[in-house]
Amino acid sequence: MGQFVAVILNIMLLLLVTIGLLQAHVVVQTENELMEVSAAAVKYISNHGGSNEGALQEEVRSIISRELAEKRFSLSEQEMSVRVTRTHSADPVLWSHADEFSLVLTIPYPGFTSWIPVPTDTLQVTRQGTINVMDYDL
Amino acid sequence: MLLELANHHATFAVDPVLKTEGVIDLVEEEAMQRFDRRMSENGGYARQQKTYVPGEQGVTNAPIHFVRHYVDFRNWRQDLHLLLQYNGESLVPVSATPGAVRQGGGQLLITVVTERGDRLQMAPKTMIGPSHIMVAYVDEKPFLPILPGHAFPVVSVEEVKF
Repeated sequence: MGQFVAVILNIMLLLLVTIGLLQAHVVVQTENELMEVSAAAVKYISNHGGSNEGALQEEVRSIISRELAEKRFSLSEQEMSVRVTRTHSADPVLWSHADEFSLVLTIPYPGFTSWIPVPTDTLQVTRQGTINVMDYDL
Repeated sequence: MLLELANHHATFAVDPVLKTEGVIDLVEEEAMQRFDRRMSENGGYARQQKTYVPGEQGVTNAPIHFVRHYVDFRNWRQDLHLLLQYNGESLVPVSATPGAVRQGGGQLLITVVTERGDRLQMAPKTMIGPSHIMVAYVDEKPFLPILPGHAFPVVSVEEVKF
């Protein structure tokens, strides 16, 4: 009987270690993908600007989904929330030269099992950028 | 990518007085401050003299050594060859040799000599205006002493924004 319990405990331990490693790997990979996508999006906004906030939000969404599709990332676009806010602006409507903005991407924490407690329930990446498009070019 | 975002922000530091006279020049001190700000906002790096030290969130844990070079409005049409040397502790500029003048803007060649004497030639870039150049060298120590390390140079060239 004692041996039987020991075997079961052994198997559970083996499983737990692999699941833990897999979980850690998933989190690291998701975070890297998030960093890459956000950097690409910031660069895009920096070089294109926008004629108004609504249009810009749309564009950011589409560039992100294109980026995800082309790079075959595992991130899901539906789960991602995108927020672009200006931290410094010259004109109330146009997003143009030397305006500064911050881009926040948030996704639910990538845990594939609920066995392992996670520190937070979302994963977030914030990036800052500066726009380099003249208002007369918009 | 991080360097590019930071350098992009840095090149907005245009001298406002000279600009009214039609001369585009970079205020280098301000540019550096702007660079520092973005490095810390986007990557959690803090500058200590000639290196950026990563924070806990960084993708690497090795400090980034860098060399900054500014090509101003008088020289950007001229070819430039930058030679840099990494000696295990820091990246030092050895020489900056100007070359021929081209109408469309000079070509930029960057060579980094590593600790072991290898010459790493970066892809040539063409300047399209006064440019702020950042060359960085990442030297990641291996996880275990027996494994090979991972070291590579990165360069970002951004023209001054006006």
